[in-house]
Amino acid sequence: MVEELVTEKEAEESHRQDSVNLLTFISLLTLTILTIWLFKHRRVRFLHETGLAMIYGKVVYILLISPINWEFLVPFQVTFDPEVFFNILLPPIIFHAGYSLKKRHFFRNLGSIITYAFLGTAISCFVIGNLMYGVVKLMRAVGQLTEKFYYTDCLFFGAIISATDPVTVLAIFNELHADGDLYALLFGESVMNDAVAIVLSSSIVAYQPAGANTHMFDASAFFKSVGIFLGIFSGSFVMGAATGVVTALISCSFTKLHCFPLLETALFFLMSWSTFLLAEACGFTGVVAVLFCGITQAHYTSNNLSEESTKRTKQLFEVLHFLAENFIFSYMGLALFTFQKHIFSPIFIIGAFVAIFIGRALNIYPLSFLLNLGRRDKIRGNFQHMMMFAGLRGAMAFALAIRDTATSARQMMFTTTLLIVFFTVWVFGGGTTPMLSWLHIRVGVDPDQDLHKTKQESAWLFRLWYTFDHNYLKPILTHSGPPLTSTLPSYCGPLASCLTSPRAYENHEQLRDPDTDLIHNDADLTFTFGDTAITTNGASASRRSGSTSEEALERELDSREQELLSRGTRLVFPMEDHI
Amino acid sequence: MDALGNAASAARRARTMLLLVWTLLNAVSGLKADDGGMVEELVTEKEAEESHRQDSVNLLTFISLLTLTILTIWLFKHRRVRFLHETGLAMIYGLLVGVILRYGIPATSYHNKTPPSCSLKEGPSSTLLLNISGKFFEYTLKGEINFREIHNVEQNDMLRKVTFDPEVFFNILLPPIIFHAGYSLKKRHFFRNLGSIITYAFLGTAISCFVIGNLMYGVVKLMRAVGQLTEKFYYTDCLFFGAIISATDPVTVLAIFNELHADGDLYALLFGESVMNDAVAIVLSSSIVAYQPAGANTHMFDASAFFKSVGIFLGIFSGSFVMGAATGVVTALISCSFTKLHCFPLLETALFFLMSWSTFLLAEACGFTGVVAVLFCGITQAHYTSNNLSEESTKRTKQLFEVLHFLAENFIFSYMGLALFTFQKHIFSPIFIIGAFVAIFIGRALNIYPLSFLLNLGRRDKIRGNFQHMMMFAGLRGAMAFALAIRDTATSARQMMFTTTLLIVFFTVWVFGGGTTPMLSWLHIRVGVDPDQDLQPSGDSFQVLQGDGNQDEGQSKTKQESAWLFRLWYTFDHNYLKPILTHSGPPLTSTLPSYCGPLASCLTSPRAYENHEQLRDPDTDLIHNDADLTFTFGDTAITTNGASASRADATGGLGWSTNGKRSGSTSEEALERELDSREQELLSRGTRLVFPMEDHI
Repeated sequence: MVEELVTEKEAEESHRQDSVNLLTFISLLTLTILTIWLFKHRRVRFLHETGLAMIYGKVVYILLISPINWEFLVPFQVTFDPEVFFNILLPPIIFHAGYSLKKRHFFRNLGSIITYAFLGTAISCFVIGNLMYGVVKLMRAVGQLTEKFYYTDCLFFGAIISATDPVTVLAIFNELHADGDLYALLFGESVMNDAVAIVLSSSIVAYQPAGANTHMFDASAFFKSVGIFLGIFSGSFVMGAATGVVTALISCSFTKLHCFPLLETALFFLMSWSTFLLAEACGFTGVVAVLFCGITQAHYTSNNLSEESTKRTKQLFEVLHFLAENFIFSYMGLALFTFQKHIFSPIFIIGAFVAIFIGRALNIYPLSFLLNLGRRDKIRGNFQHMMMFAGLRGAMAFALAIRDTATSARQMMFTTTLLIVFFTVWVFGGGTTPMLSWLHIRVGVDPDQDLHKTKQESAWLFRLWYTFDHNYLKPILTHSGPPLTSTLPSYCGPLASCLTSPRAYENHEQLRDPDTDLIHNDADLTFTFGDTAITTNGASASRRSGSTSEEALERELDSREQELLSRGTRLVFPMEDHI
Repeated sequence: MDALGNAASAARRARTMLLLVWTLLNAVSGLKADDGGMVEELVTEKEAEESHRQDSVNLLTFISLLTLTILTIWLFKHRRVRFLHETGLAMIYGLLVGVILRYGIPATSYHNKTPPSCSLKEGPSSTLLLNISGKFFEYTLKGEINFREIHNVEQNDMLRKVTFDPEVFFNILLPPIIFHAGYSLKKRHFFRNLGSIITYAFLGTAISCFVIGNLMYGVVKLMRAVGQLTEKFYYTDCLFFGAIISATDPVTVLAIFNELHADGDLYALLFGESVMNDAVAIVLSSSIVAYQPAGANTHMFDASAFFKSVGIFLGIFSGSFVMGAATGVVTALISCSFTKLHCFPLLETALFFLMSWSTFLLAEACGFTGVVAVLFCGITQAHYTSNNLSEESTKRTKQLFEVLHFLAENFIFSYMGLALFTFQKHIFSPIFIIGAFVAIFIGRALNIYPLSFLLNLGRRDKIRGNFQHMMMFAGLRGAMAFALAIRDTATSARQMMFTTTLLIVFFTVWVFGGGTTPMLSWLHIRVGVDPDQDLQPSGDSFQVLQGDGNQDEGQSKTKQESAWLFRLWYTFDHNYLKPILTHSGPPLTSTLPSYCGPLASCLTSPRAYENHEQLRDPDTDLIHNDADLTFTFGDTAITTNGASASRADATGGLGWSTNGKRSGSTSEEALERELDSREQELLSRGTRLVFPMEDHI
């Protein structure tokens, strides 16, 4: 009996301890919020909320925990299970990123973003990995390193540190209304880049050469790793997109669902969460799936939601994202002291700092040069410098680093990652505003007025996809877009009318497709030298008929002024009988 | 002592068995360890991955269940089907999935050997380090296993994984539900009936607990006489059962009331009772558990231990109350002093969320009951903080907690459905179950009818017979009873209670919940009441129209429970707390005596002065008023009067005194007048002074 009481008391004590720990974090966050408010109120821009959260994390440790005797500190292990970060805190952050991608600019620069994200991250990973291998060799020569540190470990470090997270920079951009294209490039790169880094790091871990000579190069194992990378990435992509599409279908077919915003919001939340779980259950990467799910939801589902629900879901995920992000950053500040197995190795840390700059430079400048060959609207020099500068590391690098801290190599990486995050967030984050003015980057741009550049990346393939999406996917999955009956050939008539929702017909008359933002157009351009003429022209264009598909598409690209142009003629197949 | 020894040895035996399983597992991994460290590492990594995947699948099951529930609810709402509420539906889906999991999936058994023996002198601990052939492994305590169920453990590992840690319910799922309940209390009706609600909640729950406990003790005696019960089942266990089953949760009934706009007073009585009742039941059950008589004669009556229990009850309850209220007040102060915070709704919402959550943690850290603290925090936040928030944030916080509440509630109910099949240690005892059903009805009846009789002696607006029957009928059991029952299922007595609670929840939610609409019409309870127009119950409005005496009758009927104490509190709250904590209410400079002038002006926020001109105090809803009443027989006169009054108000905030109709009012008179002033636009606020202070006006 006594023993039972003792264990019960112990359990109660541990529960209380947990409460105290969590309470510390929540007080930290509260404090952070209040200070952010003060900063925002006073328009202080040199310190972002994430930087502040880290500082508070440290201050709390220094002021509250360290003066108390060390015996008390021993139970005060404010370390969470690393998987918490990956499975609970990251998904809302990533989902929110996907859900709030500014679609127009993002899709305009899709090619560049994908290039930076995939090629760039791979370059950065290998450059950093190789440089770090050199550093490790040096350390071994100097006698600083006695533990094992393989080439794969170096590559792993390269992968985790390649995940950029310029949240500070983006917040300032947003506030100052900096150039939309630059914002899209940075944001898109950082979002995709996280996905790539996760998959890259897990496929590096999976690189297990056969036979005795482990950690040496093995072609078959290498290709297996590449296969794993492609498999996981595409699997996660498909899974995320599929769940998004299913949600869109549900919210589209249950047409009266928008009468109950609570149900709608709950459904949206649950479906987005189930993406994560589904992907994890299938062995893919949940975070990556959640990202693509977010993009798909923003593209299709949000068109079906009622206005009320659109606002609700946005606000819900905004709050979750805000809390999770600040929690991670304040935990980082605390982890610098409370984590038990830090290995501070000056050579490694200095080497890592040098390596990430070289890696970032070899990522941005050569790729920008290559991309500029293809882009009509060049990525200018000052944009490249800004992108180079905005290579902040954040929550994703931390979460990847803390995931496995078993070996001494991993512990060294963790410590270094932590320091890199601190340094980049404070120094680069704080220097954004001066940097913007030093590089002469336009601020105060009205997001609707900066469309003077033409369809720079509306490449052939992308246009094909756009037509397909607009004519078939949108009508099936959402209530916007033209009804299927007008886009499908006539022999598909019955099928088309059964797939199109009744609301689509209603909407067809006063069609405001939010999606025309996707492709850049040069209506503005023509406008500048013939505005009144074009306006009447646009009005008369609606009366034109019998257009070819190419012509229709061209016309659509002109039609950001949606009120001026009609939509009925956006046909791919000639079908006079239906008009 | 004998019983003690038995319990201890039983526990020890169970834990030894657990150790045996561990050692078995260790032996398995130890065999592999011989092959080489690398392979073994891979195996454990793979196992961890597998378990992670398993967890994902389990959670996915629940989320699909919830999704399905939402879609079906939508269909039901669309078709206006009212006989089945979403919670009932969630349980049905949970049952179906539970059946599939139980019988559809082949059992996985990964170790077939009998567990090797091993004994530890120190007894079990929460974590174990085992040395197996030179390697150290860490194991965590999962739970006790009964000797006869050791086979079950091997067979149904999958089922065991679908069961959550009971503390999850208490620490993660209940807080949002309870907070939302506190935050969305319809203030006017709630405060009007506060006395009755508190009577029902405290006295009623105590009566119900003791009646049920005693009846169940009789049932247990009967079972022992018949030979159905061989395990231990003490009187305190019966009382504990009484406490957990006394927590009513008429969510189904309330949803229907809300939809049909049933009588506001009845709604407030039911909702308020169920909310407070949960808090009482939690504290009651924990103080019953804490009832540990000294000396050898355990589980017998012991006066000192009893009073200690009562002391614990009062201590925990008041402590939680104070903590919740204090956090609410702190949040209000923060949101009040950071006057420009409402420019950033995101920050405001996040702050609100964090402060409310920290109440829970703070109370738990101090040893109080977090759920109770969260309830009172919710009420305080609704009362003070929500006045300070921007409109955007008010909406946001409401929606945020609404979504959380909705998800948590449906999750609990679908888990209940699942638990009926997947929970491993059900003990179905027909006599106990039938006895419990009879007992809860008797307990509910002895709670409602006598207390209503007593309350009717004091209430001017009687709780009528049909209301009493409806309250009797609405004694549904729900999430709270379940969470309390699942918290501890170690002994067979507790397992029997858990099974019975589960069945009671099912039965009441489906049968009573489904029968609400017929019952409403059978009992002739008004539906379709406009919440702003139901301030005079229909029966009385007849009287009112009769003649000249109506004014007095109206006056007397109104402040039915605005008792002396409550009015005092109201005055204090309105004149001092509201100005300090919120931007509404009169500025402190006008309510404090003149010698406090500097202090008052430093405590009052600048916005309060701004608001003072066009003061719309949302709080006048609290106390019942008869403005409507007067309206019925002199509407045009009042309207013009009101219009002129508001104009007078605009001139200097001294409406009534400049009108010259009533000046030099005493505090009592001012309060009376305030009670009349739900039509806030019509009446001025400037004269609501407690102390005469001409120099400040």
